[in-house]
Amino acid sequence: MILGEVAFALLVWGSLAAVAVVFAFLIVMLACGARAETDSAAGAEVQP
Amino acid sequence: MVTTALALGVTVTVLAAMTALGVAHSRTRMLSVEDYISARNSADTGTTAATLIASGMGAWILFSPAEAGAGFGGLAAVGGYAIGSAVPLLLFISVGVRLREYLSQGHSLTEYVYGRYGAWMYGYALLIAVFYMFISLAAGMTAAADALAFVADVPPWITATIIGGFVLVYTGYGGLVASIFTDTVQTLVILPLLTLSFAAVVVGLGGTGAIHQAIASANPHLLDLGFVPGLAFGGYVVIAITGSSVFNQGRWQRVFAAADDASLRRGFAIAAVVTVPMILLAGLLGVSAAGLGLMGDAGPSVALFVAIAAALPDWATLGVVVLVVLLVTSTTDTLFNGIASIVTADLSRVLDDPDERTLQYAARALTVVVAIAAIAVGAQGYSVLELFLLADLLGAATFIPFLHGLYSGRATERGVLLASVAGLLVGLAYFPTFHGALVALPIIGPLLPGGSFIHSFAGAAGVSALLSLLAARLSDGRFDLDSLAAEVHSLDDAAGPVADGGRPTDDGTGSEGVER
Repeated sequence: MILGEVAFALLVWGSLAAVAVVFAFLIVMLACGARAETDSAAGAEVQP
Repeated sequence: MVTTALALGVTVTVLAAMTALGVAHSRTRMLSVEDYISARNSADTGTTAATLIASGMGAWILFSPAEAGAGFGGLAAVGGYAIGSAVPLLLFISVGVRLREYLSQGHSLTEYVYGRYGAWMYGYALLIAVFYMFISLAAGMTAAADALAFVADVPPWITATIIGGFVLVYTGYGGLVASIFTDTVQTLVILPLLTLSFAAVVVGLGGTGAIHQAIASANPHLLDLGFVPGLAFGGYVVIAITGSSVFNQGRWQRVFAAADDASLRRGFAIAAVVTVPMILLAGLLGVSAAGLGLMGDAGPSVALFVAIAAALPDWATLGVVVLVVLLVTSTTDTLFNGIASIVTADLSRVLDDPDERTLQYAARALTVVVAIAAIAVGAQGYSVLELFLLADLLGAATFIPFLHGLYSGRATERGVLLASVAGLLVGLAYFPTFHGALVALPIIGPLLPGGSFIHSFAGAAGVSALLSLLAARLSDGRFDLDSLAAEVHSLDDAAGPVADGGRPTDDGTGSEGVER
């Protein structure tokens, strides 16, 4: 089965879009992780 | 082409920045042997995903997928490559959760195999793991050296030396903690840089419509999803990558480094999801270079660089230099620390109750030895493709029996070893690389089938799986998987690490400073 022009375009631009979406998601996950670590460290300082 | 001096300047700048980040991050953490080789339960979902992406995505992504697309079967081969790279990450979701359940204090794949099977299977798995990881290391160094030689005429020995030297500094100092942190930074740079580069090349080559038209008129088989050679290539790559990945200690370290099972599942899944489009894109550029008739005298391994050179201005080559350096750095630090950690974890069993400081020095000394060996081999520019394929075959013939014992108490050492060796022999019988030499053998030679990678890898994995299952069925053994936990223990001294990076005092109540 020969891939058609539209399917080829979807494959290329869809792949680029997929990477962009995962990258954005990764940024959010890393930011949440960093915030949780900061909160945890601050909590540990408050505890006697 | 950018000048050699400029490319070297950019390379050193990127490496110095990574080294500074790795060292600075490690200085803020307490570094026990446990941190150095396992960083246990420290990586949340985002960090787990980022470190898996960076450590798995080496300089090979600029060579192999494009080569598969341009030289081995177009889209069908690229699709197989993409799936093959994602499958092991998905496999590790199940394997990783079981490992954390049964080996909660584990550090390495060799601890599992020694505890589950015994000394013979341990020796066999250790051989495969170290062989595979060292060949990967040498291949990564060689690929980076080739890439910088291609785009800026940088002598291979200079590339290997500066990359190995800088990575050694931060990995030797901060171990897995530094590796995971720099991986995260590298992922945040690599992903957008690769994506933007690929998008710019597609636009530079005239857009998807023009590329598709050119390929369809000149080489339509490159767009044929049913192209048999491409499917065969994709099929064996799935087995080869999955098999060898199981023996990548870097993956096992990240299983234990994940904060919890949920972080492990999500982190490995995200890495798998992003790997597929990245490899598809790299492969599609190889297909485009071949389909547009850009290759000229260049070999398929540099198809992506040919596409970049045709589509982007010279200054954009600097972006490629940055990419190459980051990609090779992220896998090199993982493999330096991975090889050192396997031996360090085993030293705690071989030596008579070594203290934490002895193990720390051993881990760092081993990292130095591995780095020097990798630089020496990488600087030579050897083609290690045949050795790489052999390492893949060893993995393909062994990974199912190897993991079988994690899911079944009936798997025995003798059964899985026999299954692995039988699978390897079947694989070798079909293995094209050695086929000429094997058919020349008296008696056995004329009986051997024709060489084919798909038969070799599918035969190795299939036969080893069947025999492993059969041996387990016939066995009376009932291994208690819960007893695995008793086989491994923390490598830190009883009093544990201390917050200022020092070691516990003799009475266990305080700490003495210790230089790293």
